[in-house]
Parts: sequence; C-alpha cells; structure tokens
Amino acid sequence: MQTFFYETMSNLHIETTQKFKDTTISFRFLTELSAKSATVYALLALCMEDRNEKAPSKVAMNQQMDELYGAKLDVRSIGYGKALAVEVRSKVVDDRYLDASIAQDHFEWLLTMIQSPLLNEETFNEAKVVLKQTLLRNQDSATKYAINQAFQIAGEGYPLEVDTSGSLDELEAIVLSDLKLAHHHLLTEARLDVFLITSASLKLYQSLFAESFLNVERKSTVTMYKLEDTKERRVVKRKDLKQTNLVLVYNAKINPIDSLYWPLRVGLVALGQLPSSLCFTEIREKRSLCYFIGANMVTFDGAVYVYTGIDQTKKDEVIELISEQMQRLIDQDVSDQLIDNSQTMMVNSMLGMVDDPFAMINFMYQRLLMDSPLTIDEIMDQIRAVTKESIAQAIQQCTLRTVFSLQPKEEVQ
Amino acid sequence: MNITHPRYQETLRTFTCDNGLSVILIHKPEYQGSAALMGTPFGALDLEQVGEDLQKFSVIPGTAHFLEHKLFENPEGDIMNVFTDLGASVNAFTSYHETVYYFTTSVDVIEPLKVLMNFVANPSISAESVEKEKGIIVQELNMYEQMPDVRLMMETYKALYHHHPLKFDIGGSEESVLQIDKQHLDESYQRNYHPQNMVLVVATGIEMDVIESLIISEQAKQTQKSAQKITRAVIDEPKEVVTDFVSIPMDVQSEKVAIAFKIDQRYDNPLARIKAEWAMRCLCEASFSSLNPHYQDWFDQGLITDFFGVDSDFGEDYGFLLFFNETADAKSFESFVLEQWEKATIDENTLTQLKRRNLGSAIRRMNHLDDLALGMMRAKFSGVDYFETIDVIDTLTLEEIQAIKHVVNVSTRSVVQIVKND
Repeated sequence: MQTFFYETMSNLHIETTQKFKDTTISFRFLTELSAKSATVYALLALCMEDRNEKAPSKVAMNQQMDELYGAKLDVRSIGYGKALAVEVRSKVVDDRYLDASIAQDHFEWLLTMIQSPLLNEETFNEAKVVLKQTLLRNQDSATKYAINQAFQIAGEGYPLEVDTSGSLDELEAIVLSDLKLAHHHLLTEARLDVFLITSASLKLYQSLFAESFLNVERKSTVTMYKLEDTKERRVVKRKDLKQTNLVLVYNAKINPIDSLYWPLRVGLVALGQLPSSLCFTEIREKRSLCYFIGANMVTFDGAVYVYTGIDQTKKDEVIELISEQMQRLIDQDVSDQLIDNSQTMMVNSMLGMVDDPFAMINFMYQRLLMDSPLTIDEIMDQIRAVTKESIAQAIQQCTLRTVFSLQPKEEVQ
Repeated sequence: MNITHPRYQETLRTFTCDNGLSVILIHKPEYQGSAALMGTPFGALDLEQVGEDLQKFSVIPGTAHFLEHKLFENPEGDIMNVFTDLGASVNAFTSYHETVYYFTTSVDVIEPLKVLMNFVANPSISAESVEKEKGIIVQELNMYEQMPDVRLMMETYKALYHHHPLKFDIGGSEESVLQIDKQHLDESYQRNYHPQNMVLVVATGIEMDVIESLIISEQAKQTQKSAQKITRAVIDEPKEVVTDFVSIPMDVQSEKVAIAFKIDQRYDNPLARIKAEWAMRCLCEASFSSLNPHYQDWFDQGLITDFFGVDSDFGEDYGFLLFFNETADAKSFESFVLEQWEKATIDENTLTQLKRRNLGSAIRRMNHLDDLALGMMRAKFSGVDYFETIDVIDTLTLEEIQAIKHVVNVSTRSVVQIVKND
C-alpha cells in the first residue's frame, strides 16, 4: 500500500490491484473516546448514512446509491483505547464490469456525504430514536450484553468501560449542536487516514483528495493505555435465559508496542482461538461443557477476555478450568505442536489479508496508530520468534480483574 | 476445459469423477488464499426420504446437524486439529437444504484438500462420542433459543407449518437430539453422503490441472457405497396455517412481531422459482423499503422502526412472505402490512434502479472465495447455472413482478410476537 502525505495528519493510502471486482474506500477520522463522544458520533453516523444536503430524502439517497450500481455505505465507530475512529466505508463495483465509469462519481458522492450530512431537528430526532432502539436491541443479545457488561465493570474509570455503540444514559442529554460540533471537528481537526483499494487510476484519487476540503492540517489523538491493577470483582446479573454467559476479563498490561505483545497474541490463540486450543479441548471436547468458548484481546486497552456459554451449574468448574489453562501456559505445560500451530495460524491469517480489503485496511491502520515502522514480513518474523517462555511471561502478567456472568433467573441445583 | 465467463470474468472448470462426485474449480490466480467446500444436499428439511425402490426412511429432527458435528471425529481424535496442523481453518454448517464442510487457507491447498475429501468420505463415529456430543449440541440449541430474532423466526415457522419440516429447528430439539444414536447417524450417512449426491467446489489460485489430477486420484480411492438415489418425500402440508396468532414471552427489551403469509404456489423448474423469488424481492423492496416515498412517513408515525423488514423464501415444497418489526402493538402492525400490501407496486424506473443495485451486489459477492464457492454449490444442487441466477434479474419485467403479488393469499397468515415477560 502506498502512502501519500498531504497536510499534517491528512494521509491517503492506496493499493492498486486488478484482483477485486470493486473499489473499497475507508475514511477514518480519529477523535477522543468518552461515553458522550461515542454516543454523539453514533448519532452522527446515522445521520450521515441517512441523508445529505444533495440527497435530502431517503428516496433520493437510494437513487444516488443505485446510480452507482448499489454502492455500499456504512458509517461506524471503532474503539482504539483512548480514541474513537469514525469510519466512513464504501464499496462500489469496478468500472471494468460496467458500461459506465463511476469511480470519480463515487468518490465525489462520498465527499458530499461527509461534508454535508443533513443535520436538522428532524434527522437528529430520528437518529435518536434509531440509536435508542439499537442500544436496547443490543441488550437482548446475551453474549454481546455479557461482554459489554464485563468490560464496563472491568474498565470502570477507563475507556474500556465505554461501549462504542453509544450509551443510553448519555443519549437524552445530547442536543443537535453537539452533533454539529462533532461534525465540524471531523472536517477540520480530527486526524484523517483515507484508504483505497482499487484498480482505478492512482492519480485520479490523489488529485480528488488533494483538492478536497478534507486536505487540511489536523491533529492526532492518543490511543494506547494500560489499566492499573485492582481487586478482582465477581458480578452476577440474571435474565430469563437457559444458558449462563460467562466472561472473564484480565488485565494484561501489555500494549501493541510492548515486546510481550506478540507472545501474548500467540498465547491467546493457544488458549482459545483454535479447535486444538486449551479451552476448546479441555472444556468443550473433553467435558462437553459448552458449545462455544473463545479468548481474545481488547488490543489498545491491554485487556484480555475469555467468554463462553455454559450450564449455570457448571460455572465454578468452568472458571477453574479456564484458570488451569492459563496456568498451563505459565508453566509451559503445553505441546510444541500447539504453539507452532498458533504461530502458523497467525502468520497465515496475515498472509491471507491480501485477499480481504477491509482486513488489509484494519491492519494498516493499527500499524499507523502504533507508529510502527515494521513491515508485515518483520511482524511475521516476530510471531515466528515467539517461544513458550515469552508466552509464559506474557500470561503471567495477566491478572484476573472481573468475572461476570449473565445467569438464568431460576437457580438450578 | 476452462471456461471464462465473458461478463463476470470468472474462470471455471467442471467435471464429474468416476464415483459420481461433481466438481467445480474456480480459478482465482491473483488470490493468495484458497477455499474448498464439500457438500451434500442433506439438510434439516430431509426428515422423510424415499429411495428409488420407494422405500421410506424417517429421519429424526436434528440428524443432519448432528452428523455434521460427528464427521469431524476420526480414530486419532478431532479432524479439526489435522487441518490446524496444516495451517488451514476448517468448519462446517447445516442449513435447511444442505450440509457443507469447508476450509480456507493462505498456504498449501493440496494437503487440506486431501483431508477434506477423506474425512467426509470415511466417518468414524463411536457410540460413546455420540452420547458426549449431545451435551454440546444442547448448549448450542440453548444459545440460539435465547436469541430473540432466531426465536421469532422459529416460532413463525411453527405457526405456519403443520407437517413441513421447516417447523423444526435445524439442530432439532433437546428431546430429538437425545433420541439420536450411532445407528441412526450411520444409516443417515450411508443414504446421503454418496459421491453421486455430493459436490466439491475449490476456489484457488493454483493451476486447475494440479487440482483436477489430485481430486481424480483421491476420489478413485474412495470405495463405492450404495448409489441409491434418495429424494425428499412429498409432504402433505395443508394450505391453512397452524395458528393465526402466537405470543411468546421472553426476557427482552425490544418486543418484536412477525407477520407471515403462507404461499402455496409451486414452480416447475428451479430457474422459474429463482426468478419468482427475485420478482417478490423487487416488489417488496420497491414497496416496503426506503425506496418508497411513504417509508419516511411510516417511520415518523412510529408504524415501523429501523428493524422493520421483509423476507421471502420460495422452496421446492414451501413458500412464505414475512414482514417483521419491533413493536408491542401486533394488531396495528398487522393492519399496516395488510393495507400496504394491497398498494404494493413497482414502476419502470424503480425496477431499473433495483436491477442495477442487485447486479452490483452480485458482482461484489464474487470477490469472496467462500461466498462464490457456496453460490456455485447451491446452484449445482438446484440444477441451475450460477451466472444464470444473476442474469435472470435483468430479464424481470414489470408484468412478472405485478403477477407475483397474486401468489400471496393474505388470509393464510400467522402473527407471531415476542413480548416482554413479567
């Protein structure tokens, strides 16, 4: 991917390829994360997707997108530690498969949508209604709700507690002027990285971007941080469910720039991301205690979590088993094969990124935020260099911070 | 011989192995990764089967899905670990229509492909492991049951169908899962996993000659089992729905409603059915999405939410049209749907707009190796050409779309709601 630097913190990254049948574009604005900002930007995202000054109705918006052969549009927020990236992403069919040339029209349409969303009382109130419904709906997804609750408890006082989808507590107090200010901030100040994966002319996009309102001097925002260690908390919430959703959150105190980062990532693959992983083997395959179990990381917050759905009578047994698997990694009581496989799967997933435009973009963006000079090849070398000892060191650093369980209302003996 | 589609620029090779396995190779020379899928048209709808000799077989609900779980077992352990050792990610799924085993890899495709063909052809299921698997499957069923959207669909199918297997969850129920034993799995496997019934699709950048030779030589090693052709028995499903109203209490924040119309229309050939599905989709998009200028008013008046949507499915022996929304007022939503269905229509401009949209979306889907491979497999099971299923959109006329409205009899409907429990 080639990077072109324009004004400070206004960067354009382009990968030209004939491989895909479409062009993928992602505009990423970086701003500070708080419960309020997450909610304001969630509302702004809804307004941007909905209408703009050149397409002042849903019908007109649809027409514009269908003139671009059903261009896909999605505006979303992604958390990166202390920061929130507001992403405008779109896909459009490549000119090679059409009788028309739409690449330039598509880019200009996106610029209009970013510059001039229709922000008035009507669209604002509609966005509020939609966001409220979405946030309530999210609570009905037991797994998502349990993970959010676990982060809220484990991350109290830190960005980890913030749900980037927005907050019901903040929603009512937000007014239209908050959205207008946030929009102005995106247009004029927030760090911007634009990613393009396309077969179209590099020069076309360079000139479109350089001459656009987006090419102004901007400021970046701090992302990574570490949680302080606190006393472990165990919280139970009850719902009328058949299954207990269990989430364990650990403080790893490891950021992506730390030397133990890749050992931790490899360790997590071995712990709960493979069919041969310790949790999957010991908890699902040997004991039939769950259908799903996984281990992952909230990368820029340095937190690690394990999540599963189990029978509530087995909760203590499963917590104990998860803890035993962590200890096995610390004791280096795992096969060489499992570690090799974990490394191989991570390396292969990096090799496979070149077939997935958004995976490429996500990876590139993380590296930019980390200010990492490493190439993909160098990162793969670091993964291959991970040892059982370094994994043990990384896992040793993880302290259990929260055990959250969303349990059935009726106690089963 | 390789054939490159002139419009979509996809290069394919198709052939049939001596044992009857149908193979589709998709050449994606610029891709680093590969995807391979092996599937049988044995899905959750196959509960009553008939052999060529007219012998009937009853299948316990959830069997296809249970088999999918158990095929990953081999005498040395879990076959998933073998794929992991080869650097490939393997998985499988069971739908109402088929069971599919697949892997993706960014490195060597040859060895995982051999393993895929071998493990699907040579199951090794022990009685002990069948019993053990029941606990895992029950947890899976519990997981789905606590999802309000999934529950709404399941309860809607139950309200519509008296006998049709659509009324059962793909995984069956806890009760049916507990009934399944090794013998039942073995017999179901023998009937439904013969190579003659199955399709293998490989999408890769590797030269197709190499892949073809490998598949032919590996398939030559697979011993032949009974080649009896199995079909799904005709279900005697009444035109009427089971119940016109069901209310399901759940511990939810958002109450939901589905209004489903049972469709009795059947189509002689798969392409006609696919075209009818497109016609229904276009009519519904034109009338019930934000393409309709009244959509904004409906939203502002609180008649619909952003969850509102329409779905339709025209199977070989079933059909339905489904509207869903988030509301506590099922009656008002029902009146709204009935009133708007009366008015449902489409004009020439909107049809052109939808043709463009759907063409763009179909072309974009071809970027994804697994999506493309699955689309090819499903087209093969249906006996149609994959690209024809896309081209058919272009041939839709206003008259055909208006005509599709008449397959819906609004009096055969069920209203299903998910309400907050006390």
